[in-house]
Amino acid sequence: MLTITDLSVAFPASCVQALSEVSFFVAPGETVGIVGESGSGKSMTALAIAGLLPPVAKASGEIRFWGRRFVIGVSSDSDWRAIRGVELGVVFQDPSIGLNPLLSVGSQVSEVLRFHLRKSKLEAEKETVRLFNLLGLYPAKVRMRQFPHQLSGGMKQRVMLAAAICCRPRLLIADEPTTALDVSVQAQILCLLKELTAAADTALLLISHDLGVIAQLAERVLVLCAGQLVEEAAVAELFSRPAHPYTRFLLASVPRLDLPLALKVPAIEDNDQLLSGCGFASRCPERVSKCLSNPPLIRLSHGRKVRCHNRR
Amino acid sequence: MEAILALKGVVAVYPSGAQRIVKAVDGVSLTIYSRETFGLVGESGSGKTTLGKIITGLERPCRGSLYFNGKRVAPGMRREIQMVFQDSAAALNPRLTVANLVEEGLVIQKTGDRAERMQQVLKILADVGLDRMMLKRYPHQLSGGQRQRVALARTLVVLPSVIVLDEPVSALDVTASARLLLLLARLKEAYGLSYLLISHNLAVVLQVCERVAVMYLGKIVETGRVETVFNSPAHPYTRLLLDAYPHPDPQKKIPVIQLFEPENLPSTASGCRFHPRCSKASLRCRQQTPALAQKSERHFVACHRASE
Amino acid sequence: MVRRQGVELYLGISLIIFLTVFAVLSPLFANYDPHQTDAERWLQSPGKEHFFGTDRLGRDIYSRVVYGARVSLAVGILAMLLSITVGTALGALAGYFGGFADQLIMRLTDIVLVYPTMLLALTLVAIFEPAIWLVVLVIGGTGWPAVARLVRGEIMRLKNLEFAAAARMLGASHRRVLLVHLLPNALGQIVVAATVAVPAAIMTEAGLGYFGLGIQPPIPTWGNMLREAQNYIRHAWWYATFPGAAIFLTVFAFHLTGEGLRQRLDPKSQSGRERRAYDH
Repeated sequence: MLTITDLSVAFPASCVQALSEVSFFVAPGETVGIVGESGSGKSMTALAIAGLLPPVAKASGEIRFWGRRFVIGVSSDSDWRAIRGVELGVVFQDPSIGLNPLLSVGSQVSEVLRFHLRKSKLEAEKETVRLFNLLGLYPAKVRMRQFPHQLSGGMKQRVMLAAAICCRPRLLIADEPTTALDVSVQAQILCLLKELTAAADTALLLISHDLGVIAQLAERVLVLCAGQLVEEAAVAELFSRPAHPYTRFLLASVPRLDLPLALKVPAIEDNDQLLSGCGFASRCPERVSKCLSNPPLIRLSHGRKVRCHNRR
Repeated sequence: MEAILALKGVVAVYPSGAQRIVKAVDGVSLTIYSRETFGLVGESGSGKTTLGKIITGLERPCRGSLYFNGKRVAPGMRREIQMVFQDSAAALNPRLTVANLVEEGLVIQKTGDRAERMQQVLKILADVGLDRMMLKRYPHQLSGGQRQRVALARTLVVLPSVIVLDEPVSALDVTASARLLLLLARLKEAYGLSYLLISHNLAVVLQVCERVAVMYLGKIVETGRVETVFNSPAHPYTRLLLDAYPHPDPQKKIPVIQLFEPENLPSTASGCRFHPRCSKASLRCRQQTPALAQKSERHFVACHRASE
Repeated sequence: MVRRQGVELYLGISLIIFLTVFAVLSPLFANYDPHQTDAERWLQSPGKEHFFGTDRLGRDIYSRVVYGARVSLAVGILAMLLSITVGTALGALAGYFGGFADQLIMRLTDIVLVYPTMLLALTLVAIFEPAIWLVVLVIGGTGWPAVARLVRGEIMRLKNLEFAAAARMLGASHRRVLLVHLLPNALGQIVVAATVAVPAAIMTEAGLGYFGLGIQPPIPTWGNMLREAQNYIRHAWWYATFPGAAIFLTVFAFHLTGEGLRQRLDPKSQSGRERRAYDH
């Protein structure tokens, strides 16, 4: 359904290659997770798919979305606008950025319905009430008339979710949707995402640095490191048998309730990446001399890929 | 074990809306022992940050007393108690270099000449795992993890005995946060520190703390050794927080959690503050506020139904 | 888009130096005595003899513009220094300490703000003779409340940021928090206010001159030249154009310098802009 081919994003002004030749696909109704540290390029992937890359970025690649073809850097903003909001919903980390503080939250959701689906005012409001009830924004009629500052972070994120799914998109991109929220609210949002995507058969691209969040929802996981896809696997396999040392490093970093922190780090670590070669090489405990050249992405088995010279 | 810091019956209020006042901290007592890491968990609005600010002297309690090293002290700032903030970008003056930032405590105390001070800055930077190449950088040129290390180094130069860590890793990604947690444990040994770690992440608290207190709407609802509280939680709120934690394991899914917003809840003027969210709430829970009672050795719970 | 850092600053400073050199060495640049009238050649259009033409008394406009730079720039810069110093000091104290100090200082600014500049000038002129120092005092003395309000607001915002609290916790004195942590972060705003204050003071001087309260003719200032020219604007375009151009050039020079300084003083503007784009 969504196919991304050789997506590259660079910032020439600051000499940064944010993404290099990332290719993947998302099947209809599937939930795909993208993990990586900050700066790994996971947010850039989301922005690129939604056609929202900053103008200073130099990008290339091709995106096929449900039969439509977008060439990054060539397709115009109006091409993207045809799918954004209708077939493609986006939820970002900070819900307060996406909401206009001067409009009631209900009108911001019904506006989307009226604009994209050409619904009448009354129809749009009825649909908004239904969505607010579905997302647990009780009492919906009161909540609709409230303004963003009157809602908690979790509620604002649910309003954003309502705006993103109101047109029943085929794909929902959620970029760190729960990072700013409390654990209990995070659990609610994650449950909602799971229910909503299952009910409407919406595909979900879930982006997070937290493997705990990924483990809860994703069916298939892509691991990004320094702008490169380093591992791709089904969720169960990734967590039971991580193939890339970077994935193991990420897994060891997550604080767990059942095991002590397993990470081993040097006293002073340098975060500088090597100019060439594998993006994880400078920090990799299993580094060999070969790692100074960039390893190819190798297919291990069906749907499983890894980019490492030293694979087991 | 010797208590380094104690709070007794601390109350802090702030005005909210026209006539209402909110008790952000409502009669909290706790003791932190020397060289201990004490965790404070709860959702936003539980009063945990206000409590941290009272300890560091940034806010004044309207009732209650503070004890430091066994002596009763007036609330206020003191060199021995320092704080590391959640948002490292806001906590560092954007116009100062790392060298100036870390040096500041020494300049204020008028310690040594510039060369001596720089030597100490370099030593402390090495202790927090930062390279000397960082000296000339400005805060915005650092990553979140590096900024948090600079903030730590700044407090360490004045040789505090207690550091209040307010959500120190919640703005960092997993790898940076794991490294900071390991660093905190190492510094505690090297500098003989005690920490009060404020966090909403239970796994973070479990990894680094010895004892923990769970706060809900200004009150401590459960406290004890971390293993005891997390392995056999006695308060339904603690259980809810533990259930909600997303395990990095696809086999362990979060159970469906009821949607409740604190704002939706009816006024909780009487009874247990958690009763509107509690599935086991009885009539007694609605009428009578439970006191913190001992459940087992060094394990205290404020719940009427804890003993059932 | 890569923009060269500091181009504005260098251009602005060069222009200010250029104007200052003209002002200081005006006898070298002027080819006529600025007070020399010539009944035969009044209101002549620009030509070989008189680069910028002559005025209604036949005086050489070019020479008058050159000499006028002395007074206008001196008044502008001195008045700016006065209003910035007073305004920053009072605004910082009001914003930082709040409470009674804030009330007191803010009421004082209100009083000065509503007290008309002209009335103050009239009062002072009634007591003293019109002189440059008096004009500077009037303009600077009525200009500081705007600066004080700006600085107060900025300090109030900054003092609530965590870095101020963190410094207090390390034991920093109020003086240190203000001078090391808060004022340097307000510097960008102050510099912008300062560069706006210079041309504003030059214009106010012209306004005062209109009522005979400014620098008295025949001493040429850009302001009083403009005033004289307004009756001749239809017949002699050059009369108002050249002093006007001189004022415009000064405004432009200070604006560029202000903008350049603001960027230079902000540690984030060196390389931060693109970095933040992907650092989420």
